[in-house]
Amino acid sequence: MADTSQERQAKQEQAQAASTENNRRAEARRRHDASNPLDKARPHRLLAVVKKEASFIPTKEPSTIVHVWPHLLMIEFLCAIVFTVTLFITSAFINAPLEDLANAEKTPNPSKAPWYFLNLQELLLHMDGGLAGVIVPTVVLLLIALVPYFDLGPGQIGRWFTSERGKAVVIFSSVYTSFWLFFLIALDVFFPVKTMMKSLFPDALGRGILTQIKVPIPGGDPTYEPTPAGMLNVSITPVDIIMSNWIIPISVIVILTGLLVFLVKKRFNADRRDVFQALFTGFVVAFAITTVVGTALRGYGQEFDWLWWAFKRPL
Amino acid sequence: MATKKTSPRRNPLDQVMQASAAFGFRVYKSVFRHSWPDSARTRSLATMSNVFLHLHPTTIRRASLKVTYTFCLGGLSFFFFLVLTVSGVLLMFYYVPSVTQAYQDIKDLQTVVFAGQFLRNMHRWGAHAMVIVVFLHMCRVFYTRAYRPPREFNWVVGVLLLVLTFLLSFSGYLLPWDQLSFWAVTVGTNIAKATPFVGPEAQFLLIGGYEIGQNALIRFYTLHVIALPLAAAVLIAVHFWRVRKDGFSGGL
Repeated sequence: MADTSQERQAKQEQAQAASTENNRRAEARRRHDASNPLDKARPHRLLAVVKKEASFIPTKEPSTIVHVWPHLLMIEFLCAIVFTVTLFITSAFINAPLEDLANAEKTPNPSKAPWYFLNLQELLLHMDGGLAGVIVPTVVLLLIALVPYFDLGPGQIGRWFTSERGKAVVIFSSVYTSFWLFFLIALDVFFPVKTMMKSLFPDALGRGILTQIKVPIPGGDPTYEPTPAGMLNVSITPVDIIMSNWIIPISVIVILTGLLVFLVKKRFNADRRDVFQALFTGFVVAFAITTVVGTALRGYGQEFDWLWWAFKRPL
Repeated sequence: MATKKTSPRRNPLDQVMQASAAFGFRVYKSVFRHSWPDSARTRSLATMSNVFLHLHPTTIRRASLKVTYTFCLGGLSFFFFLVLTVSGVLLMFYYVPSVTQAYQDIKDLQTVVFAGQFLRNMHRWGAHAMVIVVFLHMCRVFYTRAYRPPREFNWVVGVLLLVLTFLLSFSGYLLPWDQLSFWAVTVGTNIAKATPFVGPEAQFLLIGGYEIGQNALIRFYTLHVIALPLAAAVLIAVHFWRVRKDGFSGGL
């Protein structure tokens, strides 16, 4: 009796396991199909090229599939021609700039990096050099590289902005980022954070309290105070500089990024892909705006200058 | 007699023409191994049997041809890479990376060398265009979500190629050795100096000294004409190969 009941139980378990396995396989098949709509969209593929003498000769191309020669190659060829001609015309009429011979004694004012680094040079004006020039770009590039490993949610590929909601999120993020960037740059131009931190809670002599407190920072910029003997790579830094160059910029970046994610989630009920779209758009817009400001609106001594662009700095 | 005389077989000129045509066709076949691609078979062979074209599949969905999906940006990035390689090789014939000669070489290029100014312009504007196009290509791939599995790693390769593009452009910026290049690179490498902990060492490694001079010029030149292009070529090969293996993301 006990044996049969045990056997029955074992059989039941076996059947259950088999059905679970079948379900799992069906689910996997379904998922595979769903995640690979390409497989569905393409009803056939090229298996072999047969000689004329063969029994079966494909005579007509199916309408959804075309040969790369000439259909795709023609597009590539035309594109190459158009851009070759454009580049030729540009090069024939606009000359590359060449200034005087390099002279280490004669520093031009302003000294600017190539335009695609002027975004970093712009950041440099608002925070510590190490933060603006190395840490922020490295972190941003790492985050961008990691996007596909974290964008795991459902949804299709191959469609611009993924969905209508995605498009709305991108527009929202562009406006949000532009607003905050212009606001922050203007704030730092008219009410410089560095000066504010220096003059915070002044003592009888008018020196801000933060300038009086100094902290040794390992690996910091040694230009603020001379490095004491025997303390390699340690910089004695006043707290007002730590505030204006590190703590405030990092806080602003973290808080505004967090707020963007929060707003996008709340307002648009965004999924992870949309959050990534919001963040990436923030990066692209910030990159563009800081590049333009750094190129066109920064004049002598990197001072803000509405009309600097009119002086035609060579590219 | 008359018919024999006018017979094409007997006409020596026709015989030569026929033989030449046959020989020409043999040469053509030895290169391309198939006749003009006007049938399904020869069109497939045209793509498959050509080393330059075989990065493409033989057939593609009609919907994938939509230009407003890719805007040709990836292809244009490669196009500008090729333009810069060709114009760069030509510029190397006239340029010596020495602080005493470099600037004069550029001056000569603009005034003495035939089409030298045009060549230099092409290299300069092509370089700017490549930076823009590569960046836009990244945006396109992101916004169409084309980085989804199985293409995650190819996205990472693409990010590395973006960095290489910046470095290629930046290393070339110093070479004319004028005030513009000298101070732009001084500013750029001063950013490297601000790296926490290893800043001064990083800058020293980059420019081979404490300020921009001959050591920096030869380092930037070597990076610009050999090291970085080779690295880029290898990564481009990986990038393309994976696009080919994983298939085209668009055209649904």
